[in-house]
Order: sequence, then C-alpha cells, then structure tokens
Amino acid sequence: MDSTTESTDTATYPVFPLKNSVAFPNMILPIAAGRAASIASIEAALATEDKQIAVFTQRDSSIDEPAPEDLYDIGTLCVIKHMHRQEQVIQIMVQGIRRIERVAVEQTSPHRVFRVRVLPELDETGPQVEALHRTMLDLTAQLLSLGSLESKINLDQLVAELERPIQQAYVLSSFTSIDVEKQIRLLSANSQQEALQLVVDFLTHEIQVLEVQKQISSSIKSKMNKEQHEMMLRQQLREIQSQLGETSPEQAEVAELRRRLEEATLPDLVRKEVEKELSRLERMSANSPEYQTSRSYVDLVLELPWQETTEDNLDLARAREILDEDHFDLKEVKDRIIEHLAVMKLNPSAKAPILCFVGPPGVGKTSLGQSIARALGRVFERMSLGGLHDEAELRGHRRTYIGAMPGRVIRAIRRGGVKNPLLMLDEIDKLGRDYRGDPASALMEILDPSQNVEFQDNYLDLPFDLSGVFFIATANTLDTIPGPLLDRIEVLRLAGYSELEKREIARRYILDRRTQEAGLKPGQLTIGDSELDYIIQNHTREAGVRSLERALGRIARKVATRFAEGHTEPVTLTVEMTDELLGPPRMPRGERRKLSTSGIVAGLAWTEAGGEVLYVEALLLPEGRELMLTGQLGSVMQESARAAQSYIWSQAQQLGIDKEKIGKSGVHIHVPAGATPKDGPSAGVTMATALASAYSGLKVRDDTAMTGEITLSGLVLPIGGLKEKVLAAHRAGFKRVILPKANEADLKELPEHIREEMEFILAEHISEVLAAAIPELNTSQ
Amino acid sequence: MKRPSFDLYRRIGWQPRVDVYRCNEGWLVKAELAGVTIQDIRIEVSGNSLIIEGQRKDWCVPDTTESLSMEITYDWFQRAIQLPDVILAEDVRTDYREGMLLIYLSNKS
Repeated sequence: MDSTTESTDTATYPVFPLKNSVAFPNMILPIAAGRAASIASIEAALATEDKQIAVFTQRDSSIDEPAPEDLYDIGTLCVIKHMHRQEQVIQIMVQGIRRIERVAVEQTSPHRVFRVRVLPELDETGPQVEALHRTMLDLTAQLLSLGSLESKINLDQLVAELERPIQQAYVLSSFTSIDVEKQIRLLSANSQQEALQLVVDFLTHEIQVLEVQKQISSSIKSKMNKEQHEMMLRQQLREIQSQLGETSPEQAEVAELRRRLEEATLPDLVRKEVEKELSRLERMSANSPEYQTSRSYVDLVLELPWQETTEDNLDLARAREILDEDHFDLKEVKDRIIEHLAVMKLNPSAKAPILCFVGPPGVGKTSLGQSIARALGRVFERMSLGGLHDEAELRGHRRTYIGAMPGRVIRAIRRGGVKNPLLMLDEIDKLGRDYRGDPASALMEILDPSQNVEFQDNYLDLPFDLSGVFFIATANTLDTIPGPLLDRIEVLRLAGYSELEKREIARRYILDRRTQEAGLKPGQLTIGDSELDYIIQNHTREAGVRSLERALGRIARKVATRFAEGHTEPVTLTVEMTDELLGPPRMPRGERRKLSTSGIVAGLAWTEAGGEVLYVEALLLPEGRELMLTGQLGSVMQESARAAQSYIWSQAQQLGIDKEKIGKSGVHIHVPAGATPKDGPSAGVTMATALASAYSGLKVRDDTAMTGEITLSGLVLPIGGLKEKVLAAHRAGFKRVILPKANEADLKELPEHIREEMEFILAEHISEVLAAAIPELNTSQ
Repeated sequence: MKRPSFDLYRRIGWQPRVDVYRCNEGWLVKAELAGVTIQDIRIEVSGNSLIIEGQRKDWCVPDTTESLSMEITYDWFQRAIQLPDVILAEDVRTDYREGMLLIYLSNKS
C-alpha cells in the first residue's frame, strides 16, 4: 500500500466498455449502464471489497456488444463510488485511479474480465515539462478569456487543487470539446511531456477556432445592433408622433390605401391578396426599398378596373353613321363591325372578336380603330408593339426585381379604367424577338379567348379577365406574323385607295381639317377637283393618304401665311400655284413611260406600301453568254426568270424568233430600281414578255402592264395583292392590265370607276399574254 | 481475490468528517470512520499535523446477492488536520467505538 514497486504487476478486473468518453485517472465520471454484460461487470465489481472496475473506451460507439479488440488497449482502473439501480439501468459514479493496459482476456461471458497491467505514474519533471506546463496554463487562460469553456472552471482552483501537470492536462481535456480519439491519445501518452504537448496542441487549435467563431459572431452582432438601434429610434419617433397627435406620412398613406380597399369592389381572391400586402406594408419601414414596391403594387391592384365596364352602344344605325362619318368606303370592315354589334345585341355574353387590319401605311387602320371605339361607346387604348422584343414588356416583371412594372396590357387597362376597352395593338408585324423571350408567344395567350379569361401578369400575380377587351391589331404585312398568332385573329384587308377615292377622302375629311388647323376660315381656300387630282397624281405616290394630307397641309399653311401677310381675297388654287407652293412635281418611280425600244415591259409588284409599277428590261448581248440577272433579285425571282427564258427558247419557232440569234447572243435582264431588293414569282409573265420582245425586236404596247406567274409549259398562275397592283397601274396611267384568269374573282374588290376605266385581259396561257402585249408578234404559228 | 495495492496516497477518494475538542491533556479528534476495519487505518503525526488515512473495504460482500444502490464510498481516504500546537508523537492513544475513531493527542506542555 505504501510502495510503487508493484506497478508492473498484473491483476484481473471486470471490464466496463465506455462509449463516447474517456475516464482519466483521478477524475470522476458518471456512467449509465444498460447493456447486460456491462451490468454484469458492475455487479462483479461491486461484489469485491474494493469496488474496482477497468474502464476501456470503445473504438466505435455504434457497436453494442464490443469484442475485446473493439476496445482501446489503454484504459483506466476506476473505483465505483456510488451506484443506483433504476429498473434496467444502473447509474454509477466512478473515479479513475490509474492508467492500465490490457494484457490478456480472461473471460468474455457473462461479463468481460481482462488481465491488466497498471502503468506507471507520469511524474517526471524537467525544464521541458515545466515550459509546456506554463504554456498550457497560458493557453487555458486565453481560452477562458474567450469565454467558451464548456463550464466555467476556475483556473486558480484548478492549479491549486491539482498540483501535478498531468492531472491538469486530464481535466482540461475533458472540459474542452476535444474528441474521444484525441482524449485516448492523451491517455496513452507515456510521459508528462508527451501528454502536455498534446494538450497544448489541442488548446492552440481550440483557441484558433474560437477566435474565428468570435469574429463571425461579433460581425453579425454589430450588424444586428445597428438595425435594432434604428428600429428602436423609429419606434420612439412613432411614439412621439402619436403623443403629439401627428401621423407619419407613410402611416397616412397606408391608411388611405386601406380606406380605398374598403370602398373598392374587388373579387374575393384579390381582396385577400391586397389585405395581405397591406398588413405587410403596415409593418414595414418606409425607408426599406420594399416599401415603395409594395405600395405601388397595392396602388395598382386598387386602381385596376376589376369590375368596371362600359355599356356597349348597340344602336346599329348610329354605329354605321359614325363609321361612315369617319371613313370613306372600307365596306367590308364596316360590315364586320356592324355584324359584331348585331351579335352582341342578341347574345350579350358573346366574346369580343380579335380583328387585325392589314394594309399599307396611311390607309387609316389606327383611326378606324378609334372610330370603332366611338361607334361602340368603348374606351379606346392604343399600344404600339413595333420593335418590342421583351416578353416582360407585355407580361410584366416579377415583383422581386427592382423597378418591376406591370406589362403594357395591364397598364393600358389601368389607364382606360374599364375592363372592356377597345385595345389597339399597333404594328403587330413588327414584333421583335431575342434572348429575352418571344413577345409573340405572350400575345398568343392574351389574344386567345379561351385563355385570356385568366390572364396572368407577372407583376400583378393575380388572374385578370381580358375576355371583355375588344382587341384590334394592325399590320402592314402578314408575312412576319407567326402562324399560331395569325390563327387567333381575324384578318381584314385595307388595300389602299384609288385616285378617285383619295379625292373623295381629301374632299370629305382632310381638307376641312387641314385648313382649320392652319387657321383659315371656310371659303378662304378653294381647291377644285382637277387641282386635287393633280396633287394626287403628281405630288404623291402612295397607297394611303398620308402624304396627300401632308401636301394639303403644306398648301393650307402657305396660303395662311399670305393671309397673315395682309392678303384678303379668297384664294382658289390653280395648277401653277400648286407647283409654286409644293415645288416642282415629283416624278415618282413607276410612272408610265413612253417605250421607244424593244425588251422593256411594265410589270406590277406588291410591296408593304401598296402596289407599284416595275419595269423589266431585257437586252441582247452580242456574244453568247449565260442569262444575266441584276437588280437585287431574290432566288424565287431568278428561278422565275430562268423558267421564262426556257419557255421562250422552246417556243422560238412558233414565236417567229431566229434560233441562231438565241444560240449566239447572250441576254441580260435588269429590274430597276437596282437598290431595292425584290422577290416573288409574279414577274414571270413580265420577264417572258420582255425576252420575247428583245429576241423579236418588237416593241411592247406601252399602255399595258402585266402580272402573273409562269410555268415551263407556259401556263399563267394566279398571284396575290391584285387590288394593290391594279390600283398602282391605274395610278401610273395604264389603260390595260394583263392578269391571270384565276384572279378574276379578285376584280370584284376594285372600285367600280376603276373597273370601268380599265381594260382587263385575263390570260390562262402565256401566248394570250404575248398576243395582247406585242400585237405584231406572230403567235399563230 | 488478491490484488496489488497501489500507491494511492495522492488520490483522495473520500474524506471522513472529524470533530476536534480541546481537553485537559491536549486534543481529542473524533473521526467518522464507520465500516472501516481498524487494521486498514493508518495514523501519522508530524509537527502540528495529524494525518488519518486508509481504505474502507466492503466486508458485507459475501452475504449479499445483488446491490441495488450504493452510496457509501469504499475507497481510499485521507484526512489531514492542523492543530494549533505541536503534538507529541509518542503519546497518541486511539479508541474505536461504534464507528467512530477517537484519537487522543497531547501537546508539549
């Protein structure tokens, strides 16, 4: 009992396998035992007079019945100080005595018994141990100052009560959050120096971790403190204001919004959403960026006409009167509007139609929309889609984005203030598309009567019923409108006006407006029919009436200047005066030419701006070369030229053309103006005629224009845009037009006076065309 | 079971409670050492300090079958007592009665 020499002796002890912790000499450890073998070990230990038990830590705490090799080899001999049994669990408190090492396994069942050797005490001293010991105490002090030891241990007490460094090391290791494996390494240390070195390493690491942790938490804390401080100040401000009887501007604002909410008639879903947003708004600080977003959102929702509608005026006679008052002719479109009114009268729940006016610029598409709105008694709203290439423009941005706005559709409805306005979508053919999305696809949802009952704007995030909206789109061409979109709309063509119609329009609508705008009194300026015609023919060249209106405006202003300068006599416009006021008459392209050579033919083309006269020029070259085509011709037009050439060659004999001439000479076809790109098959007939004229050397009748597609067998196929083409020919002064027979039905669209003035030759075969265009050509052979 | 005894003096398992009285000859120290076999107690006197140490062993063991609760510590104990006077080591008497160890100490004078 009083000697240390027995320390190398071995003895047997019951073994307790310990999970997740390590028993160190001298330290008290509470343990709960539930496993049968462990309980048996404890009972065996309690049955001895000195109550000693060998505690070994398990290598893997997940094993329930550890084999001897699942335990670390180094353990601690402990004495059981207290024990208490509670049903199946034994609570014991053990105190470590000495480190031990397993020598042999004596027994494994019913409980484990190991033969162990008691390891020597670690009590060597020396300068190194001393140094490490001091370092350890310093580090401990640091750790304590960082304030994070698991329980506040008193360093002085620690030093005083445990004078031996190794004991302090054991205590420290159990107070810091060192893992079991490291604790075992400490327990296994065979000298004080080794043990202290390990603890110093652990503590250094621990301090580093704690310092980083502290940095992180302190930066969070300082941020928190600032916000809390602001919040507190704001709270105080509010308190002061309420005591003074003042309300803050934002509170007044929210109160105003709440009042509006109570007054508004909203669908339940919408009301709920607004309530939610408002209560969020009330809790928000006016300085937070979200406040503005949230406020303008509530503002929008309250302002949107969820229920408001205008009563449609279903008086058909009145509607027709208004339409006629505003626009000349356009019978088809007007009929369609009247039809719709009639349907609405009989079935009020009918869906509003989606119309699309297609035609050249200046024919009155937009103003027709306005007058339809007037006739129906609807609010008119217009948005231009030209160049729009961001889907979000139509459908809005999500509210998460800074500066988010509702889409144009919702904004137009908001402006209109009713849920059933007439919404004009201008320039639908000029929609762009890029990586930001395809606005045409978004339009599809908007224009589909089965989907737009619940239109979802990204910003609004609530379904809005667009089914009452009367959509009218306008376009110059249908070619660039995507098919699926085109499928949803009803296309009405406005082809452009003849000269007679233009004169009528000028007389009825433009002239009065323009003279009034210039400040002239009625009667001060008189323009006769022939002068109007002169202006239309020589100063404008267009399908619509826009430049005519400009020209008349210019005349009115110049005349007004004269009156302002003191002139008093009413002015009657003469042709000379017109040129004087507007400058010399422009000679627009497509004017009818006097043809002096062979190989030149007047063709008719269709453009977005209406019809146009295009001359095709064919020329024989002295040397044999391939067919040369110039004038920015597209591939379809080039192929069409080849087909025409082949046909003429194959029919050379019948046409009385010298075959040698064909073989020897080359041919060049040019279509001016050279800078304008052209394409399409409808110049086939024209080019064939030009070739025939060039080869035969016979001139083409210069009062004749023509159009039509040609096949290799000489058939003439129908073409599109006939009305515009004939109008262009009429404008340019042609008396005869050669057309494909299949287009005969389209002639009905032409104004009556044109049909009377012009001669139409309907051709089924190219030979009929040639016979009509080049009378001298021998086609009978 | 024969087991080696260790150098246990540095580790104090438990400390008995003591009463100290002054008496005519010197001091009486009464230590609460119930259940400790008298052979397992050692007393050491040096200068003015008295050290009582030893080990309590559980001697009821052979008669028991299972322990349900254990609150008495069966372990090494040590208690050092400082007295105001120097104690005469030659004149120490002990008496063990009803679980109490009585130690009579006489001082120099």
